[in-house]
Amino acid sequence: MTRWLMAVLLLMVSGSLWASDLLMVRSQLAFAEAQPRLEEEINALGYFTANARRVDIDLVGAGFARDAHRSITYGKPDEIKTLSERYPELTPFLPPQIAIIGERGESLLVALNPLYLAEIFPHSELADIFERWHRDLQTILENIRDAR
Amino acid sequence: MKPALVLLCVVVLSLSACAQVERAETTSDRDEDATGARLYAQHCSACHGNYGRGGVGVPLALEDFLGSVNNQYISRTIRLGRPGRVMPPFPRLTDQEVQEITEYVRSFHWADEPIFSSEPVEGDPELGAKLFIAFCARCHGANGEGGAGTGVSFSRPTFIPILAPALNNAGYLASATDQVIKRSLTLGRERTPMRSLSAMGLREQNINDLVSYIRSFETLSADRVVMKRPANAVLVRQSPYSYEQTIENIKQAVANNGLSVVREELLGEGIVDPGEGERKQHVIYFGSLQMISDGLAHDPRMGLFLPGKITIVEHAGKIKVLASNPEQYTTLFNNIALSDFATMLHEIYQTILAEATS
Repeated sequence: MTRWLMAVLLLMVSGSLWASDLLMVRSQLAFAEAQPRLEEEINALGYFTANARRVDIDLVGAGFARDAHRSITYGKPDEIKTLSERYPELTPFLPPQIAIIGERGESLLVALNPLYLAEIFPHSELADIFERWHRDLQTILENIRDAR
Repeated sequence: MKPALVLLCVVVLSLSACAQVERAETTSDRDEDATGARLYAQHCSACHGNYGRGGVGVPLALEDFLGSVNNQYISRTIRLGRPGRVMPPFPRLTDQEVQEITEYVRSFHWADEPIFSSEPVEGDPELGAKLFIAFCARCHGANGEGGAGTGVSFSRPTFIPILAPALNNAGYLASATDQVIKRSLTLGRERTPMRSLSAMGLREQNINDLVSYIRSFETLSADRVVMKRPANAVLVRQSPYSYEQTIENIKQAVANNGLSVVREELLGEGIVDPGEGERKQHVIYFGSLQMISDGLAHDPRMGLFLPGKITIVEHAGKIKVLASNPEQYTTLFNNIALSDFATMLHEIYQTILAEATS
């Protein structure tokens, strides 16, 4: 029992470093429905979306039965502009994006958890922004997950 | 066994597993509004599929799986995950929430929770090591590191329902008691490639020796997955050249490394009005078909970081080039199979940034 407890404690300490760095949901919507619905949900919270970018080059050819793979970037213009000017080290992660992957008639949505950014960019001014991004992203993803 | 016959077996097993999951889906009287169902949808369904039918992760709604593990195994797996094998830990869930999810998973099939003794299995690990090489290593790896790729993960074709798990994984060893391991070895797992060692002629003492050897992985440091974030999440270099020249240098360095510029744009294009002031924030996306295809084959979630992306900005009168550090991808995706790819990508980024700014 002691041996197991030690293993658990070690795992908990290391695990907490990277738990929930990604937010993922599965939607029962097929990809063709999920993508426009995702853009609607993003826009409903006041974010702008840029054109969806294809990332599924040769994926099917590699033997993976996924029918589509796009990445959608989004953000609020003033926020993206201000943050990128004030914090250039953030620019590799801006604007935020959500990857959407078709899978057997359903869709998988994946995004970097904004709270991960809060951990790697521990500025007090950014904390509230990332917290809000996290709440909004959860809302967007949950709405897509529950959409029928 | 000929490859065609192996493939046929896998397809048959897959179809059989699917049929079983469908049966569980249609006959169960689960309460889909219950807390466990809600938590499962929130935390598990993305990988394990709605109704546990699998996808990224293993199918959970298999009678023989649920009949061969106890609730403790499921709960600890939720809590601890499988370091490096995609399944993340969930340290922030309460004990009650873990229990609710466990009970919901249990409801995927009518198989009762099996009862296992907590007695450790006594065996000779040295004898077990020899048996492991003979009976287990072909699928589970010479050191119990699991099937090629990431075992059950994105990195295998979806028609294979289950690949051999990593038996040396700390999450697995902390979740499976000796008796749970012994049960799987003795009886195998129906509708998966895991065969009954008892049916293959091993005696109970042989299986005890094997269990002791598998348990001994806990004390071996070699071949164990250690997940650690890099110290810096962003690669940064200051350029001695002008903003415009640095952009050209980056493009030249991309070409020098046998890669192509996929596209270039102002940061936030399509979101931020390009007419607002003189923004000096340029983004260059680069890569090759091979690089993108390799990355996505290891883990399609890599689409968040592919093609490669380098930003060139002017800030406080200085020109900087920046990129996300690929060394963080392995921990970010909890996918040890990404390790070599991430290292290669890191070297490419470092080379391009160095060439463009020296």
